[in-house]
Amino acid sequence: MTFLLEPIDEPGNRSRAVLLLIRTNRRTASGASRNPALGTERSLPGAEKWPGLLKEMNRWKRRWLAVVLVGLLVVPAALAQDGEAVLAKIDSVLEAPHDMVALQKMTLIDAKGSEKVRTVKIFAKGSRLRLIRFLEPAEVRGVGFLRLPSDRLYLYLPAFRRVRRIASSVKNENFMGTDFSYEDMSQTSYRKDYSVSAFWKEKGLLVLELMPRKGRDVSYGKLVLYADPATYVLRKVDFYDRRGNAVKILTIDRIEKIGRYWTPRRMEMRTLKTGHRTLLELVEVKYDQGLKDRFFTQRNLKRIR
Amino acid sequence: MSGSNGFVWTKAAVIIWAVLALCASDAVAQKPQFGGYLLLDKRFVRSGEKVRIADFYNRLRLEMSVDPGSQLSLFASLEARFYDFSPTGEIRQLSELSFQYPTDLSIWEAFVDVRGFLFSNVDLRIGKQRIPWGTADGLNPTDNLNPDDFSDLVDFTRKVPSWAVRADIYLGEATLTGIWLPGVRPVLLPQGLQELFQVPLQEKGWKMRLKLPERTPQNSMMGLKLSARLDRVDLSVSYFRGYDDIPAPRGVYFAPGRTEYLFILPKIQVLGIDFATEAGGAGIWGEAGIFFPEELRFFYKSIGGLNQSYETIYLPDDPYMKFTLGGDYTFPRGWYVNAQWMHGFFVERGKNDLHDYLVLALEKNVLGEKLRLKLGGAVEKAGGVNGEAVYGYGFFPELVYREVDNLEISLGGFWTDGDPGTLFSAFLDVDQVYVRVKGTF
Repeated sequence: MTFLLEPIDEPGNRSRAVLLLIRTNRRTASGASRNPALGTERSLPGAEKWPGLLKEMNRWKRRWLAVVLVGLLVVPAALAQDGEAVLAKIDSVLEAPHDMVALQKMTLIDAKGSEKVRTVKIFAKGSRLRLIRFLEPAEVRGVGFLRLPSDRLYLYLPAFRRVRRIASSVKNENFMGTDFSYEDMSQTSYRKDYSVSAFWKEKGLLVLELMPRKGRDVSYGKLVLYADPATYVLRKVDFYDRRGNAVKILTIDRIEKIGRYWTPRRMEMRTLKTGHRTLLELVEVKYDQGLKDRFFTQRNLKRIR
Repeated sequence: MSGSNGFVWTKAAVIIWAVLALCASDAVAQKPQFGGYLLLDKRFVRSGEKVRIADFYNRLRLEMSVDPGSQLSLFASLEARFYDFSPTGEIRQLSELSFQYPTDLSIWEAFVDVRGFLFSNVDLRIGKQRIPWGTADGLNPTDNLNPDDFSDLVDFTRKVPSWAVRADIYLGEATLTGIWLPGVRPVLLPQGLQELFQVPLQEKGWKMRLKLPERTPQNSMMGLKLSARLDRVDLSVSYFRGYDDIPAPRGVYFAPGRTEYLFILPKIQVLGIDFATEAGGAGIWGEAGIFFPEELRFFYKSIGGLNQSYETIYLPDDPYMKFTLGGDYTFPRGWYVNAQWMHGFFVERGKNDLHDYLVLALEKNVLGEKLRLKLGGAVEKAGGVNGEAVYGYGFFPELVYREVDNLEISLGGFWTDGDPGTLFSAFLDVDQVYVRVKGTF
């Protein structure tokens, strides 16, 4: 499977990878040490005779066909296996910190260029626990969002002093007017929701095409992840809807190592249809603050500022 | 509020607010946070064939919060409701600012939070506060701790904060909440619409007196609630003992040249249960309150002349149940639907006088989320005089425009119609269109 790590400069797709595997198998077939049977047949005596030649050609056709079929069957699985390994590494980078407390500035920019700024404080642990508090602007100050395992979502509205459970159907919706959906805001592990359907390298980046796993309740029909091959830090994500249309693009830059963890300082999510985009800048981050699971409660949702 | 008494209260409120702010800023290392909003409101009310501009209040809310220590927080908010029209009817009042520019001022909320009081799992909140109970969306039959705020009929689900001591004890996934409210507060009604609350034999000019419960510890109100989770379902059971905030007629005195109705706040106990969960991405909630009223007798007393008196039962002590079942779902492309079925509105009491309401709301954000369209509506079904069903209808559309942060401009309507005997039929004279501008800081 080393072929997969060979550079492929053209934009990747599944058929190109299949062709590469076929070439790999042909090279292997010519080496007697890897397949003695093939080597023996190539050296059959009397091959110059027409009937024998035709017979030999038929054999070759059958073998080629077999190789191609095997390739078609095996390659996606093989690709996926390798892609899954890369995805596991990407996830492990995303999930590496035990917990995180971050101050983020979100700038909402519409197609005409007018801007709105949101500031949020995020407390996160693993992929399942999130507590987000809005600090600015004034109209949403104090609003809190809590995500607990099993997709239990709660919203705290300080004007009503009420914690309200919200249905997970809201996951597809934009989070407080940003281009990030509730699902995007809480996505830190891709493996549980998506499987790798294709994998290639492009412009020095590892590229994974992800499809939703059967039965998983996700809003996107396809994701394409671009990751740094050295650090496995995500650099870009293309989001597609269920009909295969590209809907959003997330670009990630200014990646720094903060403490022991690679951290993107700046992300931009762009909605293709409207041209609206959200620039998310990491103002401050602290890792491994020892947040316990019991920190992520309605008690703290109402209180933490 | 008007006159010298009102002015004293205004001054008192300002002084309390100033002292709180000063104390907070001087006494603690952490600077207090200030915020609030200004809400300017215009109402165009249909009155018969005419449309008049209602003298509806605007609001200025000032909020202050500070954390003097890791376990302690203070919060106070001041609300000024100021009116656009002068009630001046005499030349001598032209020199009085409070007559020309009426303003109601009150400390809206003011409380102290102590986190980890005595034990790490105990939180305490003391002071004037809002205590929301129940999982339904605004139509909460178990939310009886704070009085209703009907001062704006368009926003009839609001409540007024009350002075209370609240303790929350966190026990793993469960929370036990205990509330004590020393005082009893009646509903806040809309200006000039007190007659919306019907009484038998009501005629204009009759005096309607309200007698509040005596201020004794025995008459204070209390509530208990246990909240927990069962798998994916959030559940709670609650108990409330106190008073209904909607006045009920206790009796009537007939005297030569003077007739007086006496109202009281009926004693009630409410056993509540609520849940919230989701299925297939849809939010589902339910809430029920079983009301145990005290028997309420209505007396007729004729003073002078015949000097007769007799009593009838106005509200029997039979328990009755109010409930709300509802759900919501956000469809792809941002269509949000919310539906609730409510049995027994806030002002209804007694098992034979509970109407059914189907309340629907459809919302959609457009123009890059700058404009929110909201279509709200309700259908009411009630038992008529002859036992036949009668129906009422309400339609509450709203457009909310947000061009820039912290500014919200709303245009909405409130239209009702209904057969006699329905709640909506009582609001026929308040059909209105409103325009609101809200700036938050």
